[in-house]
Amino acid sequence: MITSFHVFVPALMGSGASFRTGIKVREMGCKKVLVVYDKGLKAAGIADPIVENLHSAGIETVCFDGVLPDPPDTVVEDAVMMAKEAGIDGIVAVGGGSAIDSAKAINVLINNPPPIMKYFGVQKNLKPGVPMVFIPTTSGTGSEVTNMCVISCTSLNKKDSVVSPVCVGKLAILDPELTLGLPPKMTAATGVDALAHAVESMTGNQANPLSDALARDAIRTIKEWLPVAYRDGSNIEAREKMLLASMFAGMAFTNGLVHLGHSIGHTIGAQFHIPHGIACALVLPEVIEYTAKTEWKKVLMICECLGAKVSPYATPEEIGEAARTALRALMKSIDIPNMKDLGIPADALAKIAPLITADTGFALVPYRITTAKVADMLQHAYDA
Amino acid sequence: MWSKLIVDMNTLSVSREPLDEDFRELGGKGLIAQYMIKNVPPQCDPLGEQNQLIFCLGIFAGTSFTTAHRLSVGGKSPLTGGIKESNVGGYAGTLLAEQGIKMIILRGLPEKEGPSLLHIDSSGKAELLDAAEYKGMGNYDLREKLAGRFGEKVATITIGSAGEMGYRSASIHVSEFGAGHPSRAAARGGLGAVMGSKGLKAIVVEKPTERFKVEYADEGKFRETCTLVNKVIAQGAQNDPFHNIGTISTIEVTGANGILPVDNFSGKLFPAYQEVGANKFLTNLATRGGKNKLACQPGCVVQCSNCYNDANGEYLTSGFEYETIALFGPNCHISDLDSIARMDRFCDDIGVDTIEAANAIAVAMEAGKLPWGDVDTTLALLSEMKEATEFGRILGDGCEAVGKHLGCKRIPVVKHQAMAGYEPRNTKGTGITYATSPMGADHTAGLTMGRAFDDAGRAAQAYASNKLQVAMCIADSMMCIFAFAHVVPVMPKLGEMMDAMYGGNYGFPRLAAMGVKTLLTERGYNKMAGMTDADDRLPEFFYKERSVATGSVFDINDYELEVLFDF
Amino acid sequence: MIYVNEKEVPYKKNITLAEALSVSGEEVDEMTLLLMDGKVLSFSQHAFEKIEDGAKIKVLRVVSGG
Repeated sequence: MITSFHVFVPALMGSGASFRTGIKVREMGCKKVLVVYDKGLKAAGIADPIVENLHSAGIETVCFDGVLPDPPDTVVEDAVMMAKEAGIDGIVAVGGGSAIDSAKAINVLINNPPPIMKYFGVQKNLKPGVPMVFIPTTSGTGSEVTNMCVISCTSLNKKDSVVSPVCVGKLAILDPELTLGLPPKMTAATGVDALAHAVESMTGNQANPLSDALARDAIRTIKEWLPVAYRDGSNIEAREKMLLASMFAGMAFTNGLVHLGHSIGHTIGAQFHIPHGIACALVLPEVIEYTAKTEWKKVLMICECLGAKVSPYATPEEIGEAARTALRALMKSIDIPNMKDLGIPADALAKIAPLITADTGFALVPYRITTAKVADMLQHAYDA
Repeated sequence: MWSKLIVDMNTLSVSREPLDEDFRELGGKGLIAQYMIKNVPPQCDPLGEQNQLIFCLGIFAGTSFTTAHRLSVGGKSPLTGGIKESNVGGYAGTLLAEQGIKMIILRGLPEKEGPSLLHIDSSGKAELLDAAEYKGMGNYDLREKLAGRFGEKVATITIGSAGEMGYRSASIHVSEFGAGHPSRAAARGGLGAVMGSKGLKAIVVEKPTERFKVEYADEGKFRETCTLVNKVIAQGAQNDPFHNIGTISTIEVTGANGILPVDNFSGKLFPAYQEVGANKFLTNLATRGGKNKLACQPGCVVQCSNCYNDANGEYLTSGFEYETIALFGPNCHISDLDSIARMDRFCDDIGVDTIEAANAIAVAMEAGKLPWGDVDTTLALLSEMKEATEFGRILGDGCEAVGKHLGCKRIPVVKHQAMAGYEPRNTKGTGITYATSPMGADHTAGLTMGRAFDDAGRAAQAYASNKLQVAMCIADSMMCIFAFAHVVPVMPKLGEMMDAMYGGNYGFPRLAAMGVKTLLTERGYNKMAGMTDADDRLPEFFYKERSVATGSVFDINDYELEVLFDF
Repeated sequence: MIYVNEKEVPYKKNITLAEALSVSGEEVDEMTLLLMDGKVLSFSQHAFEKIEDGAKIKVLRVVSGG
């Protein structure tokens, strides 16, 4: 089979790497940058040192602290006006997926007219924006290395992605010290998002050997270090490992793409206002089990990465079951809730199944699955 | 209230009856499927007594909706052995709608030597007339004679000698609006042979003095929505290469990316593809007095048809399309557009499917019966179909028949029907459609080119094929698929039009459900006719041989095909 | 003035086909054909050719076969 892999973003990694932000931005030729973050990050004292670092490199800054979770288009469109008035020539985003995706969307609208929802889907011919530097503080969406951003269209009440070269950063700076303060619940939620990226990118129809290699490494790392980072957020080694795993998983899925797990995550997340990572994790074990029928070789690799023992004579179904069990055990060890815990009513499951199969990610499932079978999966995971 | 005509060839009688209530909200492909599953035994002999030939109009026939007057022809196919719906343009649909006739059902076998012709006159009277004087006639002469007898403005549905001979590639030809050339073909699947077996040479439809008036649940709402949708389609058509050039424009894309079949689906590129491409075509039209931007039916805003003249400026052929050009052209290693036009004319005249005939020639070339690119021998062999020589009869039965007879190992058919002008290794979703469509290797059932991430890659191909197969069931029940391509921005409006016409407040889901039901009904029919999973696969060589244009093989796994129609 | 699908693109000396298309915002990829003054052009072969003032270009998208 002939596949392809694209490397999108160069990365700078290691404790203290964020101290090079100013120098790197100056090397790019920027003189005045928009710094994008949320109020929480400012309160946590993470934003100010970055801004100071930029100033000491002679870079002027315009700060936008209005980032909201599930970035709404209205917020992005306001930020663009601010950026254009100020005449910025670069963007630095610090924070989780919301800050990074907001920055990407702002970049799209710098030289392409609003509204952002005009550009949902794969865009080949957008006018370029300005150089962007991404500093993730969660582990994470991997958005710092992808070519897409997810934006909520407030008027239509739906979320969709813009996929474009204009959403690609010039540099990702991964400094684990910035993630030390991430609270346990968020550590767990963003960690399972990275896990979902890794396992889904391996089992979907667009997988390739390079994305698989990155995904496998990410899964092994997450298995070992996410529980540690969850229990002891001050463990810098765990934080570093998780930040890298999140980036590897991001590189894997921006090439291999994701499928049913994220289709379920998007639907449940939107319907019941569940954070993205948790929403994707809820049925992930059942999703990977389903893929084993045709992708059992990949699911076997996933089992190996999770340390799950599988007999050499196991059938595809048995391999799937082993993966499901191992994934669920990992989720439980970091207290990821199930749908029942989250208060999602059981009778809602059959209703949302058709929305899941209508999600665009469904195009990448390894083999067609009926809405009824998806409802079964949800049922199975409901109080698991 | 719409009518149906029951034409009984045993008794040579025609009766006009009200259309069944069950079929009121159906049309085209959807109607054929429901009619056949109830009335045509799936195990019958396609050329025997129990097969029926059904002509029917679409869901919006009789309205001002653009391309509403496509004609669907259905029956059990003598080529595939399964259900066949063959969709065709031309003028007959319009006049049948004006006559208030939604369906014509041809039943039984003639007891006496025929053939007959069915004449529907301006008062609506329908009767079978003796057509012995037209026996063995080609479609062009036949059209001229019928127009001479009944008037230039009639619409005709005819078969050539191929249909009378029972060739499994025999087509049915509808006269074009305007010039009246018999060049719009219900080509695929050999339904011309079914018409021939029933002893019917032609259907002649006159314009009625009193025009049938369609009933609407809410006429005002229908007109308003229809006007809007027509406008959207017309706008889309402005930048459609089919409108601006013709379907030949497709060669400019497929010739470059390995999707154009070359040398019997060898998977190679054909460097000279532009010799049979758009510029050559436009130049020839301009310098020889030919025309494009012709509508094959009144009210069509896509206007993809054409009239192609020879080097002396004399009429040569019309409805000169991509499929014929790709398959008689590069797939036979031929790069002379005029020669291909002669082949098109010949096939239209005797009444055979150009896709089937061209593939048969390519297979014969591979088997060494004639050299690659040999135009003269190709034309001579095609003539043998008319002369009904021994090889001519085999050729008339299509690509698989020729391939088996000559011992060719690479026969590009699914369900015994030859593939269209798209190499399945390089547009895998189309390959999935070829494999799984109940119609056999049919591109109009779901051409996925340009709709997956990478046409030669695996991702999203099965998804695209599934979605398009359902979409085409909807489109072929109501309009031309070329116009349907432009309705996508306002798709829900089609549901509103249904509601305004037939009542209810169901919206688009009613049509979506009809599309799925049609597809599953067709599959069910084929299963009862004896088809199995093995019929839903491509020939082995596509899985094993690499296309040298892209390095691809058809590597879609069997299980993906098995579950493709899980809804 | 140059026209791309009826959109106006100001003519400037030595403007190439690629530049004119970029300014117009019309998407060009493997599924598109360019029709300029009655002639079909391939973008890959003609992207950097200079075009004349008054040129009318249509970007046509291939949707299905036939």
